[in-house]
Amino acid sequence: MSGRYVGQSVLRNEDRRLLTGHALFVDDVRLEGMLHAAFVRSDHAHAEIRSIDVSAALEKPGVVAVYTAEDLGDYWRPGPLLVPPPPIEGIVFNQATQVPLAKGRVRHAGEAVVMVVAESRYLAEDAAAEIFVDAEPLEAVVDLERALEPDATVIHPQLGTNLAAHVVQRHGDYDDAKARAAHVVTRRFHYDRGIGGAIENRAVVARWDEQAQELTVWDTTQAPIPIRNGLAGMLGLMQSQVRVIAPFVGGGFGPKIMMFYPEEVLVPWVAMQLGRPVKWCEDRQENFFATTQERAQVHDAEMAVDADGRILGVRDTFIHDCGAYDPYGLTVPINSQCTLLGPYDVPSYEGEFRAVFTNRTTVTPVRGAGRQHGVFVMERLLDLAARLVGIDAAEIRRRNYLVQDDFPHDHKILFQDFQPLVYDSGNYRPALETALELIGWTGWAEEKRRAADEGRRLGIGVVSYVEGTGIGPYEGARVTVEPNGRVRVATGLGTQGQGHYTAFAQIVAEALDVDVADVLVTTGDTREFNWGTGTFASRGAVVAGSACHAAAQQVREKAVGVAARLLNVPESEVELAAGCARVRGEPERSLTLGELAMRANPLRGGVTPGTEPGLECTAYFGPDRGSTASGVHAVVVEVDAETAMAKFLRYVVVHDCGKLINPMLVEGQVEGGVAHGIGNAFFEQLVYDEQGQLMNASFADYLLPTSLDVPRVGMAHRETPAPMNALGLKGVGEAGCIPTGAAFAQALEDALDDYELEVREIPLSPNRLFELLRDAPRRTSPALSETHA
Amino acid sequence: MILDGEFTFRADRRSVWVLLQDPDVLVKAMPGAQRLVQTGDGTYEGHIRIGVGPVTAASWTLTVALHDREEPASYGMKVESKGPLGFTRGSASVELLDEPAGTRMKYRADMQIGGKVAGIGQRLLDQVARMLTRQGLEALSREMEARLSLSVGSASASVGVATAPTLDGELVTGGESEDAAEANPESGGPAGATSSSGDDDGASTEPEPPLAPGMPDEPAVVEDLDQELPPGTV
Amino acid sequence: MPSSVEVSTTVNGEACSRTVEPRLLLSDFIRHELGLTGTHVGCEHGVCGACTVLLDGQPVRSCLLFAVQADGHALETVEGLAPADGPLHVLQEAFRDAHGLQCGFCTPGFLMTLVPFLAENPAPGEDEVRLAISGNLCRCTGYAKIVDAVLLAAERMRGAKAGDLLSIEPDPAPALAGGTA
Repeated sequence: MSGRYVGQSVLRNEDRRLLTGHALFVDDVRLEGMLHAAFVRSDHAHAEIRSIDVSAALEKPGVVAVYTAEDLGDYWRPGPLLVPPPPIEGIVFNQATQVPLAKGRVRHAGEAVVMVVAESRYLAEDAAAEIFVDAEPLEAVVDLERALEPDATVIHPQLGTNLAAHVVQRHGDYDDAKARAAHVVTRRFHYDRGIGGAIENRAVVARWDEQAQELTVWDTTQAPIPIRNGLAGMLGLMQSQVRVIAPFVGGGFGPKIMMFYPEEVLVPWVAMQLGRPVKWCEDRQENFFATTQERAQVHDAEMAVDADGRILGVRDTFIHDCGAYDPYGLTVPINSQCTLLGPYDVPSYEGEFRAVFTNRTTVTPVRGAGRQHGVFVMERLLDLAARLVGIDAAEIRRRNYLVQDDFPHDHKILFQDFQPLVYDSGNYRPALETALELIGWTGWAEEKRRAADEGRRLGIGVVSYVEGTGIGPYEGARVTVEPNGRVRVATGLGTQGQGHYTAFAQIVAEALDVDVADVLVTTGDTREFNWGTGTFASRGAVVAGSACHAAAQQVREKAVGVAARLLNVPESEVELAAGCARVRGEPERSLTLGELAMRANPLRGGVTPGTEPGLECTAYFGPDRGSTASGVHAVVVEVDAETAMAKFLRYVVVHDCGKLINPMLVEGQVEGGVAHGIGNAFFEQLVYDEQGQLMNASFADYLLPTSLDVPRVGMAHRETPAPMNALGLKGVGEAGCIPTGAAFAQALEDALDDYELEVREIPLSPNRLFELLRDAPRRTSPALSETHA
Repeated sequence: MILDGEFTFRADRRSVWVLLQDPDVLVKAMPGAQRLVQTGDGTYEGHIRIGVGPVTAASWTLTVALHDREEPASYGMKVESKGPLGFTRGSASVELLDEPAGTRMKYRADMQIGGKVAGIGQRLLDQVARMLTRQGLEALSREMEARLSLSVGSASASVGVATAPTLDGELVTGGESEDAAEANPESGGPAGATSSSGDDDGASTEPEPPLAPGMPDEPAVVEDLDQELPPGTV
Repeated sequence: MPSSVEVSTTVNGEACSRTVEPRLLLSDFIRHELGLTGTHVGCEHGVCGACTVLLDGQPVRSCLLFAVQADGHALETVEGLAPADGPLHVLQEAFRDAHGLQCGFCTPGFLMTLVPFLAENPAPGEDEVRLAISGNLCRCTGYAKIVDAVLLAAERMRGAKAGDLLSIEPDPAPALAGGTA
């Protein structure tokens, strides 16, 4: 890799269309005769449906059809289990997946009950307002511990329990570790729900072409190929009859990788039933109920350390909130369980969790996908242990990091990709030292004192984490040189702003030595590429990028071979430069790649048996396991103890995500992730009442961070190349948001160290912080944390 | 949501007891009430038209069932309403006490609110509920007076005397008296002053006290509510 | 209330006239009646700002207005900033150069908020820019590069040479005065 493109901050190919307003998003799709859908959704979090009266709706002008679960006939069935439980010994797993329209029982507020199809969305909503769903409310199960009590109402009667899963993973012997420990820290931690919050809501448009017998679906999905495959199966069509297009998508963040949402399976079916195209576009209030969320967990954790603060063992038992259904299996809690271990040497670990059903919106991965919970627990335990031992936050981490010789490091437990959790590479201490320097750690006591003299309370925090990225199963790419010399790249995954159109172009341009602007990338269209799994888990660039690289390398070899034959020289004498293949030392003897492509595709005559036409290759990349990225975050916050308002003053990220394809894009991902993390730490929280009613279902009350809330992020990159792929890539999409809550908690405690305050819950809204401060006694003696350097 | 407070009617307890259960009185008193009929002994059904802040006014069905009646001292109430914007369910307890000034009513309601209105109207629900309660009780009081042909002394400038807590003579419920005052600039000042100060002829059977909200099938009700809600909502 | 009303506006300089329902939102009018889908809808309750367009030169939330309210007024949308194949507006160019967009969904709203802002504030500082865009939500970028883009555009609009670009490296040293890093 010469680095002409890869490693450069190349400007994005896709920006022009987005900036001029000419990029196609799903709701922009307009088709002749298109109908519009609206849904009647449950007001109750848990209820038995007694009857549904749609008669008045059917009379309304412009209404074409109204569907309840009964009207779907055989098409009604629970969705597929997207992620089966990992093969962990002794695992208990109970499956209950979402249904297209509630039948008999509704299990979360906002669950779809009736679908109305009309000539316009306005008319559809008018009709929906006339539909009367007579429902008998049942006890809503909202509290996680209550859900497991024997007399709690069972949300899925066929299961007989609200337990969705029980998983225990361990290595070493924690009880022994605890017996030998100098200190044991035991605490309960709470992590509450948030939304993905993509500015574009979900949307689906479907058109059935009766003559061609083809179904086209536009969908704001992160996984167009699996959606195509699933829909084809459900609708009784060949996969080749279905085309799913995820055009420009306005942010994914996880909820758009949830598949076979009710609306997603209904809109295509209705389009086929009615013989007219159908569109459904979610509005923001629906989004708060109908699109998946995450991430409530309650952890009872303990850490045993020796007198020097070295971890002897960790035990963590938690309850995970699945919401009403569990179609995504155990990805999120397994991530929590595994990511807890962090970059540390943990000789003994006992991780146990129970996942429970509750009468709230279904939980599936949202940026971070459960990793942040594990990090929060571990980092908080370390901070508390540090105080007991009398060292500072940086020192306790230093003493516990895995060192270079420890790799590959096998934790002997299973990760979300069903593979053993093995860290392939990592170098943590230098990252910590860099972060400490950037945030101003050594001069901190002085800075804090000066601020205090001005009446300001500042606090500092530093935390560390490891993130499994770039996991399988696989992605593929096809690289084609067209006769005009431009290169076409197609892959199966989707793009929601990560810059794939540019990053993949860079990889291919590098391999073929063409201009990045001459490489056109297509993602998210199942007609263009047939195989793939989707954009999730910080794997897009790693897995699909690696496939692009492999395919481009093969095209390169082909081009060299064709050129050698045509120019009558050995292959070793051919070099690629500036879109041409030429003889080394005789640059005037050259052919453009376009010419080669044409010549390699004769219309007449014979060919050498075994050769393929044109300059095209398809390659797949399927790692047997992911590559481990890691990072350190450091933050300085300012807190007003009277108003409990906190402000993020400085934020530093030192990140190791392997080789960077495009540093500018990586910065963007990290900055965006940090903003999301800040939101989840301090501003965002979904507030449900005891009846499962969501009380803040709008941006007026669910606060996404604004430009006034997010500081600039100082960044430093370290490149510890991943051995798992040729380019040495690791993923970065979620890095920014994973440890933010933990960093914030540590910094808050530092800023408020004259209070006996422990931050054991996240997010922490100003109201909540106010309450905690009000109830926290003042310290009479200096906080132990003042052993800070 | 808990809603509790007190209100004093200038009427004897027995009369208050009877009138509180008369659907024709109640329908005039409830803001937005369009229809209320008695369906059985202590049960009522009707329609009410209400909006909250950004949630447009719509029609809700209402059912009320009284229980544990101990004439003339106390009763319990179960209330349910349903509409395209959501639902409410709750129970209330009402106590009537004999006082020299009339009858003091103590009430406590525990309401559950769900659906769309709960998701986006949350910040307003408390205020709106208290305001509706206050308006309702005042209207109820005026209706009672009209029925009982009591004369209204202009000195007191209020037909219902709030006993706790008040702000500028205006009845408020629970806490946050400032919100109530701010929320009701239209009738501002002492409760009922605008409606009663002109009513020296209290003995008249004029069926429509001026400026009184709560008149059935009056779209102005909805607009009044919208006007009175504090600005700056979404 | 009449069941339909005629709305006559100029949109990006061109006169247009349509008959619409009184309750049709301006955002739906622009997107679906006029087919100008560059303006996006993120929340329909006036918070995210993605639907921002200019009404008589002032930024407004088109999701909070009715189409009929635009009758007799001039509308400008993102499509009016640059022709489809022509050169980009200075602000658009700066967004591209500074990587001020990722998924691009919120971007048109930012652009339309910023055009009048920059016209009135040719030399804004970082804090002023952040305040000016505090009514536009972005979930992708964390805002830093959007601020960079605005500062870059302002500089270019003032005619500065390319080499005088403001430094956009965050200052890692503690800065007590002024609060934000």
